[in-house]
Amino acid sequence: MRGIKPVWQEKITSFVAGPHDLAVSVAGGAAGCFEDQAMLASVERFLRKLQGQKAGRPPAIGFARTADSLFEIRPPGKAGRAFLDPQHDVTSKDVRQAVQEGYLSVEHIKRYTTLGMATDQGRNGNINGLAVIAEARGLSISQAGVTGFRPPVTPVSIGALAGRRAAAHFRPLRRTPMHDLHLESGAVMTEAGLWQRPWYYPQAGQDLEAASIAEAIRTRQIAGICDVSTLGKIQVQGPDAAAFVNRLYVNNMGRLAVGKARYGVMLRDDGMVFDDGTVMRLAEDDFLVSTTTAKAGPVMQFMEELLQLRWPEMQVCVTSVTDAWAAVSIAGPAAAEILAELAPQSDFGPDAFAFMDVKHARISLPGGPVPALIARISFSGEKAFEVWVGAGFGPALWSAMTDATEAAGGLRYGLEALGIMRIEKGHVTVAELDGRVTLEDAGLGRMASATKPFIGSVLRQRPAMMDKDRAQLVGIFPKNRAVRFSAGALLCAPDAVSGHGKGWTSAVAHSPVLGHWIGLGFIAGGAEPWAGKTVMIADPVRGQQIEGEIVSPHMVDPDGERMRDRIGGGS
Amino acid sequence: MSKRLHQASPLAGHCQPGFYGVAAKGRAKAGIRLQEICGLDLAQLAWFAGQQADFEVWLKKNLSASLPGPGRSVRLAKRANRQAGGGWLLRPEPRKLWLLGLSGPLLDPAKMADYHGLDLGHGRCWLRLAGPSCLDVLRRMAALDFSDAAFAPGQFAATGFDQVPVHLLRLEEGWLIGLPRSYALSCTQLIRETSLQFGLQQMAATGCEALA
Repeated sequence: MRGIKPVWQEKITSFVAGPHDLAVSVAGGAAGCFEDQAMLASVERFLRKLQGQKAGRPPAIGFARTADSLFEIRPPGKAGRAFLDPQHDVTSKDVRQAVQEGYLSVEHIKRYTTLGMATDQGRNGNINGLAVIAEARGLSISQAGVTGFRPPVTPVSIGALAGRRAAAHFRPLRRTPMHDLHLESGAVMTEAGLWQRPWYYPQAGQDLEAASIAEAIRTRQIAGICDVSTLGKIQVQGPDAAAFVNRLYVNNMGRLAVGKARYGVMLRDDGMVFDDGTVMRLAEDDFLVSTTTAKAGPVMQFMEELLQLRWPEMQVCVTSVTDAWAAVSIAGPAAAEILAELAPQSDFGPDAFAFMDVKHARISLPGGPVPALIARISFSGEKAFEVWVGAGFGPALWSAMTDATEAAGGLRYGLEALGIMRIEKGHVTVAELDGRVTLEDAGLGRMASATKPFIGSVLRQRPAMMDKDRAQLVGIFPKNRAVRFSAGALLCAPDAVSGHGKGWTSAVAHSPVLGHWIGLGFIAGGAEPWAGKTVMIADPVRGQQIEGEIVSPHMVDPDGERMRDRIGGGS
Repeated sequence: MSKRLHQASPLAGHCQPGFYGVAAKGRAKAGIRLQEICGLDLAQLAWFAGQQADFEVWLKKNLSASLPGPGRSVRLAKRANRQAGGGWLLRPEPRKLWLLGLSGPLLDPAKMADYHGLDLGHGRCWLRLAGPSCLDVLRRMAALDFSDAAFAPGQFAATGFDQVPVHLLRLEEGWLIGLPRSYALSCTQLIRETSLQFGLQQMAATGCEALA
């Protein structure tokens, strides 16, 4: 009964409702009145009470004739087990041992032995268990105490068990500020965690492959825009903000100049890669940290944990601002010219707006200018800028950038085209940074500062983590360039296509620049020992096995000439 | 951030005014009235251990207000030449204060720099939930005690709807619900569907002067 704790009555060997101050009268079996006459008498008391007459609680009478209490059968000469809790296999010996070890409270014994913690919540065996505890302690059951009961022993409504009708709300959806505009333009959406992101923007008759390759080609040739609002964004403020991000990232963030951005990687305590992203320094005591879409929540939680538990002395305030910003990346050779039309007061020339610069700007949108934060950073490998405005201005920004980009011959591109371009460049995502990868595995070992400690800096140097034979990031080509292959395939030596092989493919795409399928993956020892050798790309699940070769993961523009604008006379 | 360009609502085009559920076709009165409140300014201030006394003095000087306790709010009245349309001070975390402004920011951004001012206005979507059945809906959304004794007008809480972090401010009439912008449509649809059984009157979005 809701809120009324049952009380054990030794006399009738049963629970009855305990004292309470609810507007509830207890009668019949719930009051311990099991025989007909006693039951009727208890109901009469209840009716008198209803009429306003004085009527106390009915006495618990129980059954007129009762058998002796029997809580445990111990056949003479037999040493078998006596199970008390048939769901959790708790025996009377377990309970007696718990008492012997000093557990006195029934709640502690319950948790130690798991007696009554299965789905029946002790319905099948708790009375026997309590009796054994009482006997072992030399007490009565009421003296030994009883445990609390949870649903379904205590009543629970069917509605609560069923939950509300979830339908489309089985998981909440996250939409970027430009979501409706993506749908209007015919984008096919895909899930990225809870987020909905444009996957590709098919033109007439195009499937995923055709559309994404066309988007990647046009972006590299002219320009493309991509909604990157889903990236996690965390504001890190306070006098110790620089020291804080410096401890968090493997590379030196403390000396990052105001108005500059830097790519950074953070590790877990165990030395494995946790997340990567860009850190922008907006003021001496103000950083804007971007995380991957997938790790925005975990990174925020980790920062809070560090500040509340490990370094509470640090004067740092962290705030998630993911939802406050709309962000658009514009990439391609014409990106600067297109942006210059939208922000005529800003200079996007290669000298005025250098790689990794971050500047405040005003974007002219129909309806009025809006303040923006523009960073010259690139994931696609092209000369690129990220434009951040208040989320409420996102749709207006997207429309204006779409118009300007299309007028220049560019287009919108989705996640698939972004995937193609980042694979060509060997840029890692969560497909590679899957929690089992070290900095060295991902080819990022040179980023680690040797002059400062950072989270994971000690444990990353364990011998097994620095083993040269660990699987390391590589690029993968098929020997026969006309053949395609898949992510998730195994990389094996030609004479040993078995087991887990020597590595695996993590991401695969058709490269418009190279004109064939390429992949990223990991192989034991990295690219060097496999140079000039054949590997087997074995995909037993899909029944494919082809010959491949291992190359550098930086398959297109390995020196970053395009994103640094060094092509065609740029600085 | 500029207000010359109208901020687009994440609910635009998705919540047509009208009567829904058991309130449709006049079968019953609407137990729920739901309305988006647009144009609320939201700024955050933060301070560190040992600075609270100074911050309270600063707050008194700049907003003539005292610091609300955690889970509480302070209503700022509309005054001539100051705090244009009034607003609320809310305490979402022990060392963070939210300035929820009606018709404009409560403080000059330059003044907020002393306490790490941050504009969060674009990141939230605000709904007003009212009507005789609003407690029935709220109880289906969050495991909080919404009784008058536990959640009186002026009280403020951070909780979760369908695992989405939301903020609730009890008004004299109804509740103000702050939703993260990216989840706003999904959460609003959930609230609307939950409200159908009590009769829903979806009201047209309005400016924040409706709260003044």
